[in-house]
Amino acid sequence: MPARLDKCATLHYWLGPEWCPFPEWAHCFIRLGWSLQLNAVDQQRAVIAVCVPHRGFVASFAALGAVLSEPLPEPTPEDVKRHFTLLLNLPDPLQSPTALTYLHTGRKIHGSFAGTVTRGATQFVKVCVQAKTPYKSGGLTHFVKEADAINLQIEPGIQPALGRHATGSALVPHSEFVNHFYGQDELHLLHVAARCRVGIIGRINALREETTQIRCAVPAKHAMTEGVLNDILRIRKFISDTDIPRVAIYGTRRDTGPSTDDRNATRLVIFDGADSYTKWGHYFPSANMLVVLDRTEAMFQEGLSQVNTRYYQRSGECQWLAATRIPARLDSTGFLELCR
Amino acid sequence: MIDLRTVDHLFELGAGGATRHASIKHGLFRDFSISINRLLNTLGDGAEEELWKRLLAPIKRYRFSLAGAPVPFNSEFLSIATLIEAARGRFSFYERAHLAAAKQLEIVLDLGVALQTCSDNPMRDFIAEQFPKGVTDGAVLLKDSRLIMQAQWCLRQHPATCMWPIVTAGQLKKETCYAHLLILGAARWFPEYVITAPRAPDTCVVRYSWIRDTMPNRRVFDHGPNPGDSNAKSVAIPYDPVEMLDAQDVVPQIDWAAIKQRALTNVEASFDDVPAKIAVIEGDFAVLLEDDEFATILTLELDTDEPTERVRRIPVHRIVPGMFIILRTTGGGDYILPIADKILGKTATYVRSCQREWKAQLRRAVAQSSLLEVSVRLLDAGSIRANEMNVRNWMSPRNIRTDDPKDFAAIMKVIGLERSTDEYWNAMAAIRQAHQRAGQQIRRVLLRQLQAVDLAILERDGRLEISLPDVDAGTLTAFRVIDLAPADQLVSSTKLNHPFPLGDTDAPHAPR
Repeated sequence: MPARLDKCATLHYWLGPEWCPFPEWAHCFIRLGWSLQLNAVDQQRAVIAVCVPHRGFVASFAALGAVLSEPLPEPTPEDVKRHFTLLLNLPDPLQSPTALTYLHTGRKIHGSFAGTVTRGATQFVKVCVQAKTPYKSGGLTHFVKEADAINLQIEPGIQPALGRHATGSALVPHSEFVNHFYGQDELHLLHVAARCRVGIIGRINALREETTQIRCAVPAKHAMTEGVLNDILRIRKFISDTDIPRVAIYGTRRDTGPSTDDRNATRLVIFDGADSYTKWGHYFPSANMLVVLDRTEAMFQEGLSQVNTRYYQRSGECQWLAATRIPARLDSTGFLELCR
Repeated sequence: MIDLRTVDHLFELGAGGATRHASIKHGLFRDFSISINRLLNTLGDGAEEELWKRLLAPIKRYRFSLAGAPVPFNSEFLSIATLIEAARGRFSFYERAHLAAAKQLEIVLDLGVALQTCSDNPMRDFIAEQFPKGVTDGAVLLKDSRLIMQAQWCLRQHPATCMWPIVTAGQLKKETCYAHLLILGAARWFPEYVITAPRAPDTCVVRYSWIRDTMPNRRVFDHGPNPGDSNAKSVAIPYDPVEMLDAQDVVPQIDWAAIKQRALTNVEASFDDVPAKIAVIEGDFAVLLEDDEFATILTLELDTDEPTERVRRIPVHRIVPGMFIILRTTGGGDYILPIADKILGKTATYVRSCQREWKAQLRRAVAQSSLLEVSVRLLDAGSIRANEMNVRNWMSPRNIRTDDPKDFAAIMKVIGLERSTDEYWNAMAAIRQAHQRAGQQIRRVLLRQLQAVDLAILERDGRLEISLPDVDAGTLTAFRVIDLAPADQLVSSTKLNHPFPLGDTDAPHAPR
């Protein structure tokens, strides 16, 4: 995994007629995101706050580090068995339907749990992927056995909605840009083992531009391999339905907070600005936090004051913060606090 | 779209060297400035007396304006000649009030007269000396936005300074960078980001030698890997060992008591008074904003992610200095009312008369007894939310109807209009719907108008008139909020949202 972090050192961005290496502060935030996602302390969470002269790209870079830090382990037979048992024990579909996604022959198919069945000595999970019609047609159902169970994922918080067609959508192949960071053996796992564990609360349009329109590249054998940050980040609102999201994004101004499932699944939340932090800073019960405070923001002093107050209520010191080498000119603080 | 190179440049500037300081010496202006403080020291608490306050406020404001703008001392725009003349005419009053202070006042007035005849413009001369060939990529930061036009005109008169644009602090939040930025007056007059998130590699604070200033510390966290000195958050600038004035003392403070007095003139307490907060807004105006938990106001946000979010209605209690609020400046304070009436069409007269009728009856009932007694009678009549505060809200012309039909039915019963309950309820529903549609219409037109407006001008001047040709809403003006009064007071709801001019005694310059 650290190899992926090392590979970030080769990141470039397009500047006029040539490619330009990422600035040092960008690598600092990539390292910070990486460390925040990896360093978990039992029953405590880390809160890091950094003051910047402009908040542009900071959240994107930190999210990049966090996403790249996530291990993509090949599921062990025990993992597969545990997952299959979980599927077998899903609630009765007639009483409480469960939405599932099934990766099958290079496509992602939305389906609904339709119970279990045993044929001979083999148990199967039934996944209905097509709506039934009044003419007794439709209702295509896949029988998924344990060995294939890892391709079947539960979609929490979503009501299953079956369509007339059961073909699903083709999985987006990973670009060469993504291949630079992940080994060939990991690419398939990006579809099955990747999880959405990073959240950003901020300015959605600005983040969209930063992650989908700024041309980035890494050196390849003969030329630069081009891509955008979102090829790796896979931010939920900025990808197609077929992609597996790895970063969730929420607008600062939204009136309702992220869902309980999202809040519990998030391991790192990045507050892109003091306005996000002052509004949603207490919303995540256990996720590590990166608070980006833009000195020019109207809410800067309020955000700062809240960080300083939380510092005095801390439960411990953030020992690893120095290792992220945040430049001294960017004032920063870090501490641990008890999870709620 | 912001690009990575621009942000990288801003980070580079943030890491750049220390801000420069330049001290300007001018004997006459220094003597005048110091003499004012000597007079204040002589007066002590007496300086708060109306007699002295009325005289000293414009003089202090004159000093502040000159200390932070490249305008000549004899600028007609800033002239205090009439004031000096009037003070001389009433000198015996001052002598009777405080003999020692009057002697000191004489010195102030003499120096003031001398200054009024002096055409020196030391700030502009400084810029011209520093950059004799002129620059095309510099900017001058001004505290007092009232002086932008005058300062710009003065700079244009000199070949070395004619290319320098004037900017205000709000403009430095953007990504625009300059090669040289001259901060006029004192660093403490401006938001800290002007220094801590610089927008120029060469930033220089230009102040008069008699002003004692400090620089904000870039370390803001109480603790961290690079902790700041939590006891000293700012860095003092070396200064000449002569009589000095603190930068903050030069900034005229807002006289909330005087503004309150002006805002509440000829108003007697009544039952439909509402809690209000005084906001001092750009252009020497103040406004009373309803400070109820549910009161909202239309705001204009310049730094927004989504252009359609630029115009938003937000709770008044969330308004902070620096925000822009939108007020109706021609045709009364409520811009929703005329449009809503237009939407209501022919029924407007009838439904409005219904609204006036039940509110008048309710007010009468309260006047004959008390808010508490009416609340109790409403509860007895089946109301579920009647209490003194809610009854006060229901009486207000700004409130359309109760949220719950049971409360409305109880009111109608108590005021003797029980038979017309359904009729009145439906009329109020029509008004509410019309108000909502009017609000949406205004927002839509405002957003459309804003597309054609240079918002940089609003950021610089702090005020912008927006006419809405398609709707009959009069002229709306976006004002920057300078400061908010620390305490609320009860005012008549008819006084809300009407900007009123400040007098000479109330200077709209909050301490950052």
